[in-house]
Amino acid sequence: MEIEVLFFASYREKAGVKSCTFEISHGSNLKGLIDKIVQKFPKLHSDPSKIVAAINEEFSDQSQILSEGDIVALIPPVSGGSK
Amino acid sequence: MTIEKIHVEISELKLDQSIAKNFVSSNSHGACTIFEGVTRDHSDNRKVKFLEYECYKPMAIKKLKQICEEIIEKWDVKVSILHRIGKLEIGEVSLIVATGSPHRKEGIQACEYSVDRIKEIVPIWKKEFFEGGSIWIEDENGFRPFS
Repeated sequence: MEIEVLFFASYREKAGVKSCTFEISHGSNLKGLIDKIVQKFPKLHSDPSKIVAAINEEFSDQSQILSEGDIVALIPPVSGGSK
Repeated sequence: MTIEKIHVEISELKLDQSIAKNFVSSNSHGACTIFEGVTRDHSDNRKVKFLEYECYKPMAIKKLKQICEEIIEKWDVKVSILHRIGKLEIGEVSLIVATGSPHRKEGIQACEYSVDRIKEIVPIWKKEFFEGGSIWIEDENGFRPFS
């Protein structure tokens, strides 16, 4: 199945794209997808287990199983608001 | 019908404080607290020229609303949060949080809580452009996605 992945801020710059579609097998979890993403874009992170991602706009543990149509976003550490 | 107690907005346009203030005002309130975050001309000894904010808008709106819901669970307040994105010049307002409350204490506490919480869970990122380069500001320690 296909999963759309969104990249923001530093991840967007490191990947060089805003979004990308990945083919994964049914039953794959978020960790499996992130490993694929980092294989394609190795500059993203030296340790894929540290990447935080959201599935359908909710922060999700890497053990979460993906479903057809899910939108995954890689979320760099945030810095909004004001210091 | 319950009175709407929360209001959030993310905009590329200059923020209008009166929108936040009007939303939280009520004749039953004795306090209105307003916080403004402003773009500073220096950071870690760097002379900052301007900033750019980027967001994952649908999720950022969702997380700002979550913070507001947390606030109205804890305190008897109305709350409005406005966040600017895009390019900001020095001195421009990036964030406005307004609370209206019967008494000042809960309003001030709620305002501080939301400003702190935004930096923990809301997917908005800041890139600093300074003399000689640019850098994404990422606070690994402050980021608390699962909190």
